[in-house]
Amino acid sequence: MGLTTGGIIFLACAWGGMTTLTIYCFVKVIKSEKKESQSK
Amino acid sequence: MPDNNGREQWGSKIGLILAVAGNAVGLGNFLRFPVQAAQKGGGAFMIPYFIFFLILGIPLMWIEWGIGRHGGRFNHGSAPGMFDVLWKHKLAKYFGTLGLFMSMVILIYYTYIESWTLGYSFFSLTGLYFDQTTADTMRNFLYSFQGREVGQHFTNLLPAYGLMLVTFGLNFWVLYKGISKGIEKLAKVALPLLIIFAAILAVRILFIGTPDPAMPENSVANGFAFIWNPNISLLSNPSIWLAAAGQIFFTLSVGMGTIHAYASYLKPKDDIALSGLTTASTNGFAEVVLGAAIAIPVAVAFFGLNETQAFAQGGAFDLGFVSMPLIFQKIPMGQLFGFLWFLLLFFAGITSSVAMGQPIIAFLEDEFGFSRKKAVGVVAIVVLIAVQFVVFYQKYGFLNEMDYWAGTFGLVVFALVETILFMWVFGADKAWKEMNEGGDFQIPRVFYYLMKFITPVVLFVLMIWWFIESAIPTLLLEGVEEVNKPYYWGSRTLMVVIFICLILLIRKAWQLRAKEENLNN
Repeated sequence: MGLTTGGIIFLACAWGGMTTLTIYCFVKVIKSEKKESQSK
Repeated sequence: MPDNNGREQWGSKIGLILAVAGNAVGLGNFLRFPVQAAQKGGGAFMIPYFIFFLILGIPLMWIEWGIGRHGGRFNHGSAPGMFDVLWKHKLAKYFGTLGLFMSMVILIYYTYIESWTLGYSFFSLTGLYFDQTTADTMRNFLYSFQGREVGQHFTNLLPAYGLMLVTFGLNFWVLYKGISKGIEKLAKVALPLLIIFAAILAVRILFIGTPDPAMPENSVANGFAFIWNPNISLLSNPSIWLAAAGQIFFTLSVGMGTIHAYASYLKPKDDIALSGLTTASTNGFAEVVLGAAIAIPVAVAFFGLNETQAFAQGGAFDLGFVSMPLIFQKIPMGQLFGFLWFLLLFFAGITSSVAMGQPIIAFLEDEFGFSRKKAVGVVAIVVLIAVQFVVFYQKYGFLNEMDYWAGTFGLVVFALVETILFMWVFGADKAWKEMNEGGDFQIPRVFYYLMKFITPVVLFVLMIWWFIESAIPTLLLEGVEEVNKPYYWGSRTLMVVIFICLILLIRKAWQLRAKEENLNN
């Protein structure tokens, strides 16, 4: 069977999308926490 | 520390996000999702999955965070009080009963399942099940551990009962320590470890390749293909879309009252938008990236597609507690990897179960003035009495019935009620303002219309579909063996008793409040 082109595309989009969103969110959270602690 | 009406506070934003993400990440991420994806169109399942992530999952996340933080302003850490401030009607608080009922009932049986994962992590390390080399003998190992059968290693329920007590003890100890020193501390340790263990397992599995060269079709690659190769033609089947909506719903742990409870400890100007999105994406990462890379691919590699489908049809327990232990016997350092697998499931479980204990504890603290110690003690006693039925009658389906009404159907009812209450009764403009207050970013305006119009319609359709497709057959005990029916009725009786007791407690709490207000005036 093996991964078809469609399967690779769906896998790459799903993994890429979720990973990117998660990293993006955590980076923003860490930045906002740093900003908050600096302003205190 | 800034004043928060004297309420407990989260130590940090990261801690809070990890706690809410911990609530969401559970056994379903690693067992339910891959089975759903594989059975409902493969990669094509991700199309409705991501659509419902956007129109159902994230909106509900933000709605529940919004309701929670708003209620916290008025010192309400549970749904009855939160609904009372949203809607000035004497019935409002009783709708909030659902937010206590769901979480409490799920706590009762979910913690018992969680104790199995703790047990199996020990069994992996000691190699106890490594002499059970077939699916039948492994199933017998599980069933004998659960007290359903007699087996080679277990002749009674004592080990399972002991592990249940240990697991409940751990849960209540964490809850007793409180929001920051208990729940947050647990999340800061358990969630990163869970992610690391899952990543180790996923990487290990990726390198397994084709274990038996004589059977090249049994490979990890074909396991990935089973999940991800799209079957676009299935998208015309509405049940695929409903399955995707259901998966999004369950995976985010919405509709339980737990997110509200956690959010009530936010300060009024704390961010909701970014925090809610981060928890949703963390859960999505655990599910779509890690969850999909473990159980199904490795099962296909060792058992082939047909047998994996049979395991998948057997349900999450078969996949998690039968096929995976068989696989660990076949790989080098299998005891260690088995330990990591079951420990990650345990961490996923405990971070969820402590969340389920929080609403009822907060209710007793906020509405009756109980100390943390007294509230935890009371809940512990009640839950430990109720779990006896789950432990001893599990083989008759007692747990299954609770899981359906509180852990499945009830969630969508509560989610629909809260969405209508927040976006229509409280008012969409006020709700929107509440959700964006203090936000690290402004929620895109399109979500205003999604939350007001689309999310409630999707929930309503889901509820009606599930009512027709499963609630009615479940109510009528279709497919239940005659010998088990009394236990199903017993389970229903227990749930009704819990529900009525909660209603009476709410009534009592508000009577006490009214009395106090009269005395002050």
